[in-house]
Amino acid sequence: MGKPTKTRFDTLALHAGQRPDPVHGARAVPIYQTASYVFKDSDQAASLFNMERPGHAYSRLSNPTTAVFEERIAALEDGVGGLATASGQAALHLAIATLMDSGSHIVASSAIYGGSHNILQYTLPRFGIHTTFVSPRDIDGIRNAIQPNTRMIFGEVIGNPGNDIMNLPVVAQIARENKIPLMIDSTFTTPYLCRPFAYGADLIMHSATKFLCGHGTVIGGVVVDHGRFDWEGSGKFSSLSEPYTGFHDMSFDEESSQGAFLLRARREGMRDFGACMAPTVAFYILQGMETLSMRMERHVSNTRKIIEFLQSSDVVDTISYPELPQHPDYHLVDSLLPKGAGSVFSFSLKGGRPAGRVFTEALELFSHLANVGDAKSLVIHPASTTHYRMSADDLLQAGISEGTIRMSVGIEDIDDLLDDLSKGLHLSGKVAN
Amino acid sequence: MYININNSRCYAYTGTRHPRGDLPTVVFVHGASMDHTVWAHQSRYFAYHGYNVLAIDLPGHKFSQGDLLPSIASLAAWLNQIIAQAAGAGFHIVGHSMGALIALEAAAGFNHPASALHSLALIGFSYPMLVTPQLLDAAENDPGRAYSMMTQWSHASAIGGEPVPGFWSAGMQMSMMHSSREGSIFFDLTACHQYRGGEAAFAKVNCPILFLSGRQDKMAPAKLAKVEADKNARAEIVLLEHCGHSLMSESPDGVLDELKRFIGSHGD
Repeated sequence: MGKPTKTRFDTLALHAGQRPDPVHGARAVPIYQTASYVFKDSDQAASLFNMERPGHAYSRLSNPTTAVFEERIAALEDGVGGLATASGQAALHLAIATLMDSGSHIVASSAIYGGSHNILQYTLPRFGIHTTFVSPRDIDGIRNAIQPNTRMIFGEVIGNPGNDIMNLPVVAQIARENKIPLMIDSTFTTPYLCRPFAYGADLIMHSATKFLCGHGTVIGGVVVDHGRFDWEGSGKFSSLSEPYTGFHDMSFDEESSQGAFLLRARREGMRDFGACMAPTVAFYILQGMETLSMRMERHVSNTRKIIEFLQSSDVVDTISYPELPQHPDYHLVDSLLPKGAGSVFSFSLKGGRPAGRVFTEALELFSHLANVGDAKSLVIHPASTTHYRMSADDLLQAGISEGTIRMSVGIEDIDDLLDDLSKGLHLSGKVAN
Repeated sequence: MYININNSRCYAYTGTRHPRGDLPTVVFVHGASMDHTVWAHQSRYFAYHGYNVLAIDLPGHKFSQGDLLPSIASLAAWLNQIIAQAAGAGFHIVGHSMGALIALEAAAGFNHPASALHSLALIGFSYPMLVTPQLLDAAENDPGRAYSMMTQWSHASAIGGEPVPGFWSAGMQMSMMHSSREGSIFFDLTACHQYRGGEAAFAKVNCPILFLSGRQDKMAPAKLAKVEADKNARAEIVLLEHCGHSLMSESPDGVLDELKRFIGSHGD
């Protein structure tokens, strides 16, 4: 036996989950644009449906193109497998629906994406699942919020809008002590910048729409399992450790300890809720993932140069980016995000709402829209767009000032981005003064 | 189901079916720091196609209680207690890697008047099953490194593309080993390394034997299985293409089809 060599990240990003098409030799991942699959015979069909043989029966449950994406993200995250969904929101919903019943409770970071906040705060309570929100920096608050019926701690590696970093090892320890999983939304960081399983997380979700795809072309999500949470030993997850009459009395933890969560999520969640990813969407995301490392490096280096540039501007009031010493979570960057703290950040302009509005409208290369994680640079002024109905006081409560600008830095030539920003700052400065 | 052996609860997966006295039984035995779930597809198939299934967790592994056992002989004796208690009139044994050594030793030592061994399938088998000093050292002092070494050596392909949709086989193996009881990897690999009862065991086994190996197996090279197969008139060897040591996940259908053919043509 020779020395074992572990395949490295960049190679996995290009190859994991796919072998060249054995029939035609296609090098790219083929798009299997099909709803269903011809059975060899009735026995094979029965075996597929009864999980006696692996394979594809119907594309709501699995699809060969989508399966490559699922396997590849699992390889990059160091997980056991993944399950692709129609969106990041669908991934979050699927995870919760797989693990919880009416009466369950979640402890969530208060600094999460607005869509995640909405489902936890407003929608899930209609189905009997309630959430307590705690600042990700309030470790005692997280510990104290856990109840006997708590079934998950949920947060983001880098939160929104203040770029709060969750102290993953500490929060994971709290989850372990309480025999509940820690689920992390890793959308802003991707496995290139942070691999939450290495710090104790149990489940990871992504809005694959963002950096994984990287080109703003499709909507998709995925949930990845580390396969190491002891569902049986926890005693709190009967959906995985007790026989399920909806699938031949299968106890998913007996069937596959490492894959129990994903099995139930696929066999029940995809079957019944049906929020699956289309194969063409998976193809676009796979195309993006092939260049994930190179893009993320460029996203981060451009961001650092822009922040340096903004620091020298007299019309910029404050900048919130974890790599700056004044950021409250600066001390966590070296250990959790050694390759960089991402490329989404916010800063405040002097001159309030009018200055913010003029700034965003003056930019040409920075597209004014509500998204992040595109190869192209994006910008939004919350006080005049997504949050325009809110008063100054309400905005402050949400961690936003009237002059706050959120930026998702792309991979254009940095000098062109700086030229564009100079123009915007010049015009906003006229308003501020 | 749980079976009580020496006052310890021992687990056997049955495919969610209740065993029937009129059916033959297929006993599946997993390898080092693994558990019954490595047989997920194959065991479930047999459970729904005319067989009772006992995919056991060895003592101290997964759901089975009890101390880790230190030798292939002691593990085989334990297995024969399970078989005598739960396997019924006729049975087949299927073992993988360390489980194949246990299956061989158990087949040689089984002696129960009311039960008959019909066939023996040894998957990912080699004899002797020597373990490199580097791997044994890692197993004792740095199990995580041992898991990583074994996972990398066990797969024919480093980039996956496995048949089970959505799963990353290398990640599954790493996770399974990390979830095993502390110390089990060193215990199990030492038992494999020290086993020297192969010749005597083969001499006592009278039933047909299938050697099923991955052509790219680095952990238990197929050529060593072929040496044993060539010595035994009732043995046959089948090599699966594009497979390493993790045959059941690398080629679930290939393993199942060979087991179906082999088990279906012997006994009963």
